[in-house]
Amino acid sequence: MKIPVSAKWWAAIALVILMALAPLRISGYSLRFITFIFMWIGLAASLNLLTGYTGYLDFGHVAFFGIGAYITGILMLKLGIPFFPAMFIGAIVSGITAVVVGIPTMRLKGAYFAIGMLVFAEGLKHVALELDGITGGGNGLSLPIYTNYVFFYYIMFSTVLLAIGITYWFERSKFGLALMAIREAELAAEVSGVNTFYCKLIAFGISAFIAGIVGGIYAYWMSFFYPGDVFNVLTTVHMIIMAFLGGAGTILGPIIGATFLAAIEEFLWAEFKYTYLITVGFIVVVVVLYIPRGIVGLIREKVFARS
Amino acid sequence: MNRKNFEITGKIFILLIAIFSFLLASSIPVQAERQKFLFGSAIAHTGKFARSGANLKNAYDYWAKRVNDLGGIEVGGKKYPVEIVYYDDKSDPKTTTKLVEKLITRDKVDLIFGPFSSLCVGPSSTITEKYKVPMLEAAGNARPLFKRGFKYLFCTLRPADELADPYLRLLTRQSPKPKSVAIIAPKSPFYMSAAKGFKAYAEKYGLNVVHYETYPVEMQDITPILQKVKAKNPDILCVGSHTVVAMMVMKQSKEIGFNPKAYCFSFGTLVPDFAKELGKDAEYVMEYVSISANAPYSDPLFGTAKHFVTSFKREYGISPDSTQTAAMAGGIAFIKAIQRAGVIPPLDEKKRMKVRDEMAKLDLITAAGPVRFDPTGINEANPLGISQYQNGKAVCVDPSDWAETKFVYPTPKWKDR
Amino acid sequence: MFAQVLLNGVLIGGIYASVAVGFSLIFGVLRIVNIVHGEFIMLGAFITYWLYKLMGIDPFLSLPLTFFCLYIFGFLLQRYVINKIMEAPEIMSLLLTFGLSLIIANIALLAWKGDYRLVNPEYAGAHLNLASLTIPYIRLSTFLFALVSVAGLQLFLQRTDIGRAIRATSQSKDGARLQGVSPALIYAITFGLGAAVAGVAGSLLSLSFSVFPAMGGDYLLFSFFIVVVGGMGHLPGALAGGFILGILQSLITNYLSAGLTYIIMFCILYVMLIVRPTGIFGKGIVE
Repeated sequence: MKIPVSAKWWAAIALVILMALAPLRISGYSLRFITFIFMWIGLAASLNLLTGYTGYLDFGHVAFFGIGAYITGILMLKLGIPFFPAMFIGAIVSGITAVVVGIPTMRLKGAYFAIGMLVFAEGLKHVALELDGITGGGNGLSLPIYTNYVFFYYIMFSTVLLAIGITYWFERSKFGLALMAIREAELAAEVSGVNTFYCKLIAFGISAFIAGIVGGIYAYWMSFFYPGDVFNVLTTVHMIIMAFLGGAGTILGPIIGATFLAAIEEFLWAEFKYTYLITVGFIVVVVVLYIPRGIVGLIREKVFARS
Repeated sequence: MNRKNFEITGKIFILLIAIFSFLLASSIPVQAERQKFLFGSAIAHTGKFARSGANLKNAYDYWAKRVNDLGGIEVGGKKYPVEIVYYDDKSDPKTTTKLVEKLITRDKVDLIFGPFSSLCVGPSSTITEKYKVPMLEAAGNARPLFKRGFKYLFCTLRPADELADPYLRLLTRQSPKPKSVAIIAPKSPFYMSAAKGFKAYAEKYGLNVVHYETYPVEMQDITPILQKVKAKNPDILCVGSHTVVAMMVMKQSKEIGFNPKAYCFSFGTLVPDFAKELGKDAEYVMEYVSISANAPYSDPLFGTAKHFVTSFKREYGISPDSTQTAAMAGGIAFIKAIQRAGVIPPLDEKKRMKVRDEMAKLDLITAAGPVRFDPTGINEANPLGISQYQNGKAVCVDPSDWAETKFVYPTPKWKDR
Repeated sequence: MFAQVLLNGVLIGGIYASVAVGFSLIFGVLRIVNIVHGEFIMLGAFITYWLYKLMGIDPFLSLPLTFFCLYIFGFLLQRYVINKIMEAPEIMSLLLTFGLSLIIANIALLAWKGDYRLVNPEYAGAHLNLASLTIPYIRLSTFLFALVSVAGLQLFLQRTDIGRAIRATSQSKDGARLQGVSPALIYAITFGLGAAVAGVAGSLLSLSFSVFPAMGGDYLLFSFFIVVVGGMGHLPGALAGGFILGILQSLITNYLSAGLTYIIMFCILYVMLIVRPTGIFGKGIVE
């Protein structure tokens, strides 16, 4: 793979350096705000790895975020395992869960896969509520408190870099090519020798792994969460909108989508409290109906052949 | 370079510019001096706690207005008015956290008034603890919040698991004496804490707990649970509740013909909505109160309890409920702590620490009740009474020196009403 | 005791059936997973609430008005918005109806705030005591009305010309066109009908449960369960699915625990999706 020396690379490097140095100048609220943006980019990118490249729309993706959060929290709290191993294990559990769940669920078509995953996520929420001996149930889970917010900035940032890196690899590798073949026409891909079963499960697992990492970081960062918080369907909603708004199946898509939506929310909540979600709804409707290239074109290309 | 690269570069540059301007905007210089005390509060204006958040905000505003009517907080011979900056946390704990950090680092508030609900107090208090900013909250009294060893969190409510005391104390004095109790609650920290309290005090007062059940918060149809409870025929029903839970219990109890001799709700019935939506079906329900117009409280700045309760009622149409009373008491506690610390605005870390130390030492009576924080930061001093709905109004029935009228027991059966 | 538990399940099951039947119809004919379904239910409930609260109109008497209003709303929504993506794959309709549901639910939130409201007429809570069973009048009445709306819809589809045209269009769009039926019109009518029945279900629900802008979500989940178990697009299946859900909920909450109800419901739904997506009668549409 040649390394092209072009403007886009310089721009990207400049951005990364800027974000890496930012904590020297910013703190407090601004630091937290940007860390949140990183979190959303990570989540949107994780969904993008699955939906953008295989075309499977996962309406329950928050499940993997929640699994990461709970495993990390439980390991740290009950077994005293330090953060990094706990988070890593949480992410692996998320990834494996995705593969296990994917085996039966990925046989479903389009909307049924989406609904099936939604049901899975909702079910997990109630499982977390019921198993209150382990998960704290409705009382939530309180982790040991660590307030070095610069630390969280950097690990969220690192996760974003990881997710982008994997997305880039999807774009350039043979594996990624196989995925895109599945996205365009699964049957044709199968026929031409792509092991679709294996490939899409791997993609699902990787995307869940990333979501699991973000979940683990979230748990430690917030020091407290409860089932309705980390298994919230609205989180999946945001992920989907961010990924599609920016452009599913692209590297920059999740970044742009997440940043844009976060900016809107910041703008709106102060002045127009209720209208954030209404605006989001309008964006979705307008995008689906009227933007033929860009978003819808991508959906047509990427997701169309699914059904 | 080709078109695609150009697009991508363009997008990156736009992002760069956006971030730059954001960073620039965030380094706004702050005024060195301020002639007023600035309080911050991230509180629910929207979301599932919107109604309760609005009620709590009313209480904070009521306090602020009274303080400013007096000219402000007097320190060193000069009076400093107060102002409260509010942000909407959408009933979401992570938003509360974000906004509390914003209030502290951007708006540079002196002190924090807490959000509604233990769910939101929990994570946001880690921020105030980190920045060493005292938070006074009146709506998050689930016991686990106070087991974390925090020094900057103060709550003027009594702990949720102690709320059961006044109900059962009153009920076990009735004759014929009730023997059995059923306890239900949705699965969320406050309700579960209250339910645990009901159980502990039931055992303390010699009542038999015939049923104890918690259920998912989303459940609207609790008739199956009420049916189970009905089958065990308890004398008393205790519910870890907020407004909508209480409404559903009353409505569905009537539907299935469940007639306990008393309904005890831990919170949520003392709002105008409850009686408005239920009408006659709201009668006889009990909820704890931490004040009544007849309570023997008074303080030099705000007058008597009677004055507080009646003027609050005049302004908002209903007597203050437990969180509103606690908010008032907490605000007064802040004033005392500020005065004893002798600090003037703006507060820096050292001054805030002084305020914090004074808060921890407080032992006083306010127009809204006594305030003395135990070592974990929660109020241990204020006695609790009971209010009951009679003829569409919530009246205090216990203890006797607070009572406005007699307690009605047992609750008449549905078909006899 | 068991009899009472069963009875409760049956009564609520009937109502659940009417909640899901509109959803099933819309999928069966338009092949759309209509996420706005939850909002139709919510709007129906609010219409009943406001008519009762502001004008004292009895909730049962205002049902025809709910039907009418939601029919118009559904018809217009399909005709002018949803129709645009009728040719596109399911995911598009999923996303579109999803965006619409966000808009509608949050406008409702803006207008009516998140307060929980009750429709509490004088006769609420009155019940019949038969043997050792307690039968609340309102549950019984809403049960009967629900059955009427499901039966009415089925009869409409089987016996009327429009109904036949709808069924024809669902089976073969081009075939129907050849017979002189305009698919676009049929789609709009069907969507309107689905919305209307959902609205009526919402009105019936408002008599027993609280009414608030976000209420649609849970009922949408219940609808998923019912149509997957009963068979997508198969109306008698929706009836069966509704009863199964109601009885299941009642039994599990009573004999096990309330939280387990949701978990078991989701497990069954999930398993059905994988193993038998055509529903228990095997007549569901899967594509």
